[in-house]
Amino acid sequence: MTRFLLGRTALFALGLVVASVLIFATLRLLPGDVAQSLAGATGSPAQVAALRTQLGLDRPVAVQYLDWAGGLLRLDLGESLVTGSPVAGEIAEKLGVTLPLAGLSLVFGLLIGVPAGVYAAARQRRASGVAVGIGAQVLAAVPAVWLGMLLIALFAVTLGWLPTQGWPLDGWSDPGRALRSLVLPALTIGVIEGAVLLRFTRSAAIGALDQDYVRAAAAKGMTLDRALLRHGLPNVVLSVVSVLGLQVVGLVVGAVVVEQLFTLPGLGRMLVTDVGRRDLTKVQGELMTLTAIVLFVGLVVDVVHRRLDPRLREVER
Amino acid sequence: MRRGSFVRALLHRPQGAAAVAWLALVALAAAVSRFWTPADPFRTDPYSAWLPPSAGHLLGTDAVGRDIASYVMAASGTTVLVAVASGALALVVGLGLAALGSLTARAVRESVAVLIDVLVAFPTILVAMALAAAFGGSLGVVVVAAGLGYGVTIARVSRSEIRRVAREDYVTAARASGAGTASVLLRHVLPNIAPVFVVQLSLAMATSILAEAGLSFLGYGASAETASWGRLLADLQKFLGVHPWTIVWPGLAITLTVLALNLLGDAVRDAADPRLRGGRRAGSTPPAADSPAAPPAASTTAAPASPASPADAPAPGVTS
Amino acid sequence: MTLDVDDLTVTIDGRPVVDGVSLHLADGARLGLIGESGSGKSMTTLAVLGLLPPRAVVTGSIRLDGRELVGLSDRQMAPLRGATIAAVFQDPRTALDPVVTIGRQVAEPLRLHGRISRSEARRRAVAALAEVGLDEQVADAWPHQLSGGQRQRAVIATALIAGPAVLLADEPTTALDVTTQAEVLALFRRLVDERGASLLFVTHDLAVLAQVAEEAAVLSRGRVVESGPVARLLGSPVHPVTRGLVEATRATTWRTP
Repeated sequence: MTRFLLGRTALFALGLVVASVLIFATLRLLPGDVAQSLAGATGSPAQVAALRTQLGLDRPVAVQYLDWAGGLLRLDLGESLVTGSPVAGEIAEKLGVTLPLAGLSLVFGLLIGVPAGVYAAARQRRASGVAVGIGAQVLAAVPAVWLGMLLIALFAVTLGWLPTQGWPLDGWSDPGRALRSLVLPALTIGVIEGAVLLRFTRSAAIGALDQDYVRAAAAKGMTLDRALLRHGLPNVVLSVVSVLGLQVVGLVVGAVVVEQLFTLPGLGRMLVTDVGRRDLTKVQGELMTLTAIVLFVGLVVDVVHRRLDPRLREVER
Repeated sequence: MRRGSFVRALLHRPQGAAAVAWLALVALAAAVSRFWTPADPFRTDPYSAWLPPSAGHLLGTDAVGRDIASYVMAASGTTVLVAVASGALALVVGLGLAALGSLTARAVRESVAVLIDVLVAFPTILVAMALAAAFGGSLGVVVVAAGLGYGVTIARVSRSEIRRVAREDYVTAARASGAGTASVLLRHVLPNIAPVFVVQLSLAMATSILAEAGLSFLGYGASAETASWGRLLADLQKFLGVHPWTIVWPGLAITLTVLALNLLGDAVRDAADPRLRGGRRAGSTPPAADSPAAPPAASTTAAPASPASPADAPAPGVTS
Repeated sequence: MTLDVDDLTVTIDGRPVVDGVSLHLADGARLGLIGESGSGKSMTTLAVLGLLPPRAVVTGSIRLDGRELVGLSDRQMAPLRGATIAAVFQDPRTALDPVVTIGRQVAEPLRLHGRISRSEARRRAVAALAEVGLDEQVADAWPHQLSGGQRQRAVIATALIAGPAVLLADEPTTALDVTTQAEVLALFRRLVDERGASLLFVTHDLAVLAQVAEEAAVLSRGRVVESGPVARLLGSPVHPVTRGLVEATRATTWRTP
């Protein structure tokens, strides 16, 4: 286990390094001059030059990168090019919205996708199972933006049960209100992720049904349904866990669009705004944070998966 | 695999036929829209805002009086363009990386393998955002982001497919009879991995359409002068409170097209599998094969890139 | 208990994999079912257990001591499985759930068919394992820690623990090496005799069958082509398929030192 942990952590670190290089490189490919665009048309050459020095943009690219990377290790993401305020602090604040959103979305996704997937597998020959499968396929083709709008149209505008958008000004101090603002956004992401999870769970469960040990278990005295749940399911869960890491990518990513749609003050929405303002330092920090979260979750999921599967645990010895 | 029987097998299943029909319709609409639409998609007429569907406006009008049917039709052109461009880019990137990862010296192969595994984890939308920050938003950004993103997935799938086929006996036989690497590639490897690529291509296109919808919605995709289903959604969003249901049209267009591409991928995979040619059981959704949702191969959770892999629809479906 | 199969037909995707098969397994008897792969012998045992794939269509009759089994729902069949009719399948690697310990899997039929405490279940599992020649430690092991022969013994223990009246064995020794095969076969004979259970033994190897069963039916493409005492089948086979099987036996026995 330790060897695996070390190797996997190394891969995680490598991912972070590659990400940082790619992010930094892409943003520096900016055609034109950051200092110039910040100074605007009114800046004199001297002002622009001063701004450049002030921002450290006259140093060699490699040095700039190392400077930024070094800051990353200290969790110092620099200051906003537009407002000058520390990036790390703002990101931390926005995470207070984005992380709960992602978490709630994951819960919805699992609650919708996994049981439905097992059901679709157990009833694969009957109309009910087929219908579920088709439903999932359709849902997976739906753009999150549209689904979000449909949910708003239905639950907020027509039925009035939930807020159309926005986030309480006092944030989490009234958890009930905050959660109500998260329901529709989380449902939007959750339903789509759930559809993807459903198809995968169904696949894994069908595979489990075919397994000898499920049939052997039924031969001991239970119905096939029960055999699937008792013996097939843990193995289905293992397969689901293995794909969960990548699903979380979808969550984080979906958060970008959904936060915009529902005007939630989260990291994704801030990213969209900062891209528009060309606030490169902030964008760098935001992209890095999101990527790091994604990579980290991938690491955790892999480790958990390994812990859960007794076969893999043994390999170490 | 004979062309005729393949096509017949493809169209035999209702899903395959329906998918091909819809995609043909979209392609047709896109082509025709270059020359003609029922009305000018961009003509605004404030006095005709929010008209319900009628003879003059098949799908009604929007907030500024634009004919939705014409706009949707014109936007199909954008969709086709983005899908084809992204798909092509994804294939090129994917095959290129795969070739690097299979046919070169060991050191290069190994590093490419690790690189691919690391890159697979990066979400397309973040790539798009990074590019948009550097170059400003545009359809080009969408195409590059989607093409690169899915290209890496294709690279992973290709590598395992190439490795699989390279081990087959007929390849060894060909090399034993003196065929060079290029000839082996062209005559033996490519035809056998072709179905996998068609499937991956349709998935890549589906992903790019969803990506374009989402990015255009955010304002970083299609510009205001370009008709786009995603942009229309963005425009209609402001009025959700008073006119909630007009969004059905662009959303439906996106969904049906993406669905058709996914179904096409399924149908191609089934039609190409000789074991399944002999009539599939009606009504069963086959366990999905190639997909972007496979975990990094470096971990022990590596799902084989073929049959055992999960969901068909791209996980980045939420990039929209 | 007697098992009567009458004109059993199993159709999958329009193809009959079992075509009008009739068998009679007398109380306490040992009947062999032999044929090449694809002959329908495994499907027959699955049909008896009610564990055919969902798309299979079954006609005909399967009667256990007079009680009709064809047409019973999964829920009606479940109480019979394990306690009255038990099965041992071919591949010991896949017949055991990889994430559950051996002890718990062996005890499972007991827990399914009656209220029994966990400690009592473990005690009986250990006893069952001992009967098949496995140590108490095995009860706490995972399937992948055992050899093929050990796993198959565990599977046999599981099948017999609830004292079934009918035992279906589908190629139980095929996946084992020759030496282990002989041991496991001997184990089979002994245990079945001791309990007086009826045994339906499915295999493709006539030599193996000869060590276990007295009577046999030969299956080819879903049909019974010949049946009778094993000695006669070996000595004077009539049908070409049977003759082929006997030839194969001679070849194998000649090869084994």
